[in-house]
Amino acid sequence: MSKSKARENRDITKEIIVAIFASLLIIVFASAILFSGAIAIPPQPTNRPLASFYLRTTYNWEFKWLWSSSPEVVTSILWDHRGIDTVYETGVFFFAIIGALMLIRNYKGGSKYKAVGMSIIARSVTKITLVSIPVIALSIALHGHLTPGGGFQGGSVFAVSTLLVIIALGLGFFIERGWTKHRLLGLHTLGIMIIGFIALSLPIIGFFRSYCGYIMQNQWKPWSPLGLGYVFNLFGIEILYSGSLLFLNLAGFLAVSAGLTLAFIALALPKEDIRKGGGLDD
Amino acid sequence: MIEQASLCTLLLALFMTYAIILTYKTLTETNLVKAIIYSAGQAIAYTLALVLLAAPDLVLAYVAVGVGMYTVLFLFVVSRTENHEYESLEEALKAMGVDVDE
Repeated sequence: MSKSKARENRDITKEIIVAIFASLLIIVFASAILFSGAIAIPPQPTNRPLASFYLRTTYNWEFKWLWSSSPEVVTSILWDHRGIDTVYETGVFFFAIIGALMLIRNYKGGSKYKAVGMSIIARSVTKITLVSIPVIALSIALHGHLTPGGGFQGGSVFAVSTLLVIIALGLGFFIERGWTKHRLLGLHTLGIMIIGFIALSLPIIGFFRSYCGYIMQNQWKPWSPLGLGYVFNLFGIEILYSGSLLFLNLAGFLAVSAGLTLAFIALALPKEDIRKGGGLDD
Repeated sequence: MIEQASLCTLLLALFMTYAIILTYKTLTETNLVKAIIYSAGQAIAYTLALVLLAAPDLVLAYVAVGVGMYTVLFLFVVSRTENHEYESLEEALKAMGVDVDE
């Protein structure tokens, strides 16, 4: 009896310590923001040579033969300076999704899933977030060339909303709306194909017009006068779209969001339905 | 008033300490669901540290992957198997009721 009581006391002490730590964290963080405006370590007066090189060339209107026409340096480096690297990363992600599909290769589909999930409160809250999360995800992807973010970030934020749907509203929510394996895989492949098409567009155009064009080229260079432009004129308003960056971000968003949604649906399928397809016991 | 940069460095040290504590708890916890929750807490501490390091691009990816997907993915996997991590094979077999004599 006393032993269990001592254990109970120890548990309470543990909880108190955890609570003190958590409240300390919140107090310190909130007071830091309130009293000094400290949200991030401020930029240092001197930058390292590599950083200053990128900061000086990425969005420098006076050296247009070096720039990538986007004020967001991270996106410029990801999709322009080291663009082929990112294309290979997207390829690795594609094969990861194919590997996840191997797990449900016997699934034939066609079963009816009722859209049963959690309680009415959880369902209502999820339906509200189901509007806001995809909008935020799309805005992260669309503004990827202007503000922090991009295709991968937007796609993974979108995938969080599909996860919430699978947990709170049930898998039937997707099945009822026709989000099948083949359609999602088609969207994923479409995103990958758009990336490949944009990567190869300038070499192909250059081949027919006898210019020099590079794979994943964004803006013109003195020895390669082809470029994808950077400003779009909409009824007199000039909109910066930063050449290939906007399209690559949108294609990346499509590929990542469809691929992750597919992977989650694959994981959430009931075991019996996958067994029913046959061939798993061999 | 404390200088902004040194305050940020202090906060960074605090969050990284939380991350180390939570990582240790993740490694030593035998209840797998608890271990996953500790791991998500570690991801939150890392996210706050990345905010302080002025890396919003990484934060956006890290929040979605580290806190959202990683956690739920592992919860899926644990829901398909057992909730307890055994120290050794003998212990697991004993828990399942299999005789291990030799």
